[in-house]
Amino acid sequence: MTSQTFDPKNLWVVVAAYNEKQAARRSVEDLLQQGFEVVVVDDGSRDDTASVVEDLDIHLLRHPINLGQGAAIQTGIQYALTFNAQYIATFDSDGQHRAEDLNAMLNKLQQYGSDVCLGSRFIDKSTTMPIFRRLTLKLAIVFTYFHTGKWFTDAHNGLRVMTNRSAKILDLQENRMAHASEILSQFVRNNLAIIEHPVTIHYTEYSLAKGQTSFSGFKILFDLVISKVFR
Amino acid sequence: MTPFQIVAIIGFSVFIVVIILSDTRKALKLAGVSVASLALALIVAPNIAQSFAVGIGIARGADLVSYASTCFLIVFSMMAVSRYVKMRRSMTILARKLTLLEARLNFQDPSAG
Repeated sequence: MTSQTFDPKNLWVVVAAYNEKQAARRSVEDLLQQGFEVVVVDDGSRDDTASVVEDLDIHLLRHPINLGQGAAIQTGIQYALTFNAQYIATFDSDGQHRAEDLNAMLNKLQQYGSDVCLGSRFIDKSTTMPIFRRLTLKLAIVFTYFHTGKWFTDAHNGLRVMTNRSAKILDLQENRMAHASEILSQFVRNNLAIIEHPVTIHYTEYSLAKGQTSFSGFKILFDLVISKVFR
Repeated sequence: MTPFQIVAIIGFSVFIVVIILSDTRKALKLAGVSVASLALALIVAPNIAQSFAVGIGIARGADLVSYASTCFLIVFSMMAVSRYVKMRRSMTILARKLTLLEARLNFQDPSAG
């Protein structure tokens, strides 16, 4: 295992944002401080989210209508690939993720020669969360096992780093929250080398209010079933 | 299996084969005309439903209409969802093309934003 000196501009971070006027700027500034290339995809926000980040040194994309986080991520990845981005990451815009975790994830990806590094909030105990949220996420892990045949320690974490080759494989059809399951499914189906790395998620009142509810799990399941039936 | 079940299974199977093998629009028109004609007949002579129902082993005409409506609703719902999924995919592709085109233009000419 070797560590490589790395130009942070080789990591393109895709940030999907919908109605994140309150948190988006801080999240993007944290990423820019790390020296990454940042792509913000404004997913048809109605609160003028783009206005709080457009003066920053980023690539700003705007969906004309709200399509969903999955669609925004796919758009951002496709955009980054047009610049032949060496590595691509996905990062939430609500302030839950830490930009510095991406450095460690990328190092691990390179050290192990993997294709994808997934963030996991359950490997260490650095993340505290409401018990009901923890239970829902644990259920998601079980569901993902039946869906992909693989056990992950955190099946719905928005923090991911992937190689250019892995990003090219992705072709997300799920526009909304089911995209997280679809991403894992496509990675596994294409036999990509996947590793996980402990990351810290900062839950705030704001992010918990905006995040997925327990009902979201049923909606995700419904969307996946519909996609399977009406391929 | 009751005669109604046999008739319904054969009927839907034929309907599905027709949809698959022929022009969907023509088949849908045919299905629509058939359903409308049947409804018309039932309105003109309501006793037809009762006689037919008894003939195929269902006690009441009202039950026959209820079963037939349920089957129709299921088929119609599935067709509507299928159409919705296809439309959503098309819309996503279109919106993404627009987004990337606009981004490319902005990248080439920042003042164009």
